[in-house]
Amino acid sequence: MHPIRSHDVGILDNHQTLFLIAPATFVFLVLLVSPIVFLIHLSLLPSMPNASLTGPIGFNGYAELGDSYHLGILWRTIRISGITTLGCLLLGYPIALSIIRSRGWWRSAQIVFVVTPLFVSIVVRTYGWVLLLGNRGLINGLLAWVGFRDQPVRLLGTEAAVVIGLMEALLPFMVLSLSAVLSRIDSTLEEAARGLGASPIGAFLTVTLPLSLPGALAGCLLVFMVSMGSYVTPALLGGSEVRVMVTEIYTQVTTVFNWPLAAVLSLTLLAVSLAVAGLASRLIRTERARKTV
Amino acid sequence: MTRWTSGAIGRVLFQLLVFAIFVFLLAAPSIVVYYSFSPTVALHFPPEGFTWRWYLNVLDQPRLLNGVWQSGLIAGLATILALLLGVPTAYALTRGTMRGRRTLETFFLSPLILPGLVLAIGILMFIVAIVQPLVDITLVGSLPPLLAAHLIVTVPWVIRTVMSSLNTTDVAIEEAARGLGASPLQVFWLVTLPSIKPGIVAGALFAFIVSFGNFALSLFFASGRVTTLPVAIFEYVDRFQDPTVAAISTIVIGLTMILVFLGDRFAKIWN
Repeated sequence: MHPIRSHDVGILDNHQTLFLIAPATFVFLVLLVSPIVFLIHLSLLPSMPNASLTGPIGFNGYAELGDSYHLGILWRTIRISGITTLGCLLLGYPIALSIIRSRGWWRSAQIVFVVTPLFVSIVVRTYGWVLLLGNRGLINGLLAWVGFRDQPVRLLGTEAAVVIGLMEALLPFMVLSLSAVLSRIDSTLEEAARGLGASPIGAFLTVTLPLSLPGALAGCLLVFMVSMGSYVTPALLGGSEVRVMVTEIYTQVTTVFNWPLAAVLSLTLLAVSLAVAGLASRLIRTERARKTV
Repeated sequence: MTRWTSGAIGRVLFQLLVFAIFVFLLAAPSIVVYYSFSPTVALHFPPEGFTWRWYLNVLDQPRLLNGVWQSGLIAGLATILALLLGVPTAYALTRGTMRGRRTLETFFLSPLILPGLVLAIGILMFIVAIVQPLVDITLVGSLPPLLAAHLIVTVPWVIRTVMSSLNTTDVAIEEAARGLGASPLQVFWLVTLPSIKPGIVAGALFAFIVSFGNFALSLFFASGRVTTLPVAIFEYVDRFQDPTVAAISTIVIGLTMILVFLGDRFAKIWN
């Protein structure tokens, strides 16, 4: 995850470097930068259903963002992503520790378990949760089977369902970030603490846990940003009851045809993501600096 | 209680916890595989039998089959283009000394964490409002915009994987070759390329799989003629409730695992 760069060397001079990165830079300018610049322009056009793509420049789209409906959606998005991040941290830590501390086939098996879900399309995995959480799904079936409830418990269309789906989808990212940093912590440090009389839990809490904070922060950042931007999970598990920023943007683009408002919401999501990323990378840097002093 | 037994109990509890988390992590894909063999449309546990009929039903779903073929085509093309764009970029960012290359790296890797649907909307609106009037062709609903949108994720995957491969190979050999009079191109072709081949294979594999499974970047560009498998699955789930989607998903999960396994055999991708 964080390659060691002990050997940044000048095989290439600056002209050669520029020549090599020029094609990718051009493609990214066309596919990443210009669309975002265009979104900024679009966000300043009058916000209304079936909006035309011309008109006087103004801020009425941004004013709409301030109403309680849209602020509510923004707050729900941040809340769902925050809970998801915390859940991934709590579930990811034991797995990462277990991978680092085991050897042989069990270690490889655990890595395969963690990485394989990443390669199963998010649509397929979310569909699995629909089957598990639906009114006639497995969990309600099991509850009825043991005679627990006669009425199905409504699980789909709740924030809890969205959080569960997101946690499962993003847990691998957290485990990979955590195990990258845990594997670089010198295990003799914890052994020394044990030798000096600390309990296993005490040694873990005072030695390993603080040293792993940068990896935990990096993992949290990744999970938070990806869950803020995910569409499939809230759409299939939350439905129209649990509207988040991305599902609202989708509605504005495809059914309301209010592209200026969609642009405002998209840029807001980007801005919040980037602000969180900036804050987190600053925290990670100060953490690292503190460790090396 | 002695210290040894409390330690042993702790270890057992920890293993149970780890096991429970793995059950959670693998629950969704497992239930999809389970459902694909269900003889009934309603999900039953314990199972009430076993059937292949949903696998046969896949063959009667032209939209899903079309999705498999077009997803494969798009992922393949997006991977080839990503290698052509990404490998030189990764090489330049690790072997050059130009100022600002850290910023450039962040720029090139940013699509991995930016919201895919937002990037797709940007591309869609840009094409509809600016590119289409300019070239006077209806692009949305055809293959090129879909392919372009997928490049936004495949290129960063290749750059990231190849960069980490380049960062872990010994650069002294390249410097030696350079010192002995080889041109940068010769150094790359004869020295660097053979040693980063596993990284390139892994990058291509990741790019292909990520593009094949990506949904957000395809949603707006799919049409009657052009679709991808995740979009086709999403549409099917929206309209019908039977295990056909579970069957095709199981096939895709199986193929993915074979691809990952082969990739791991030929190029140690999990290092």
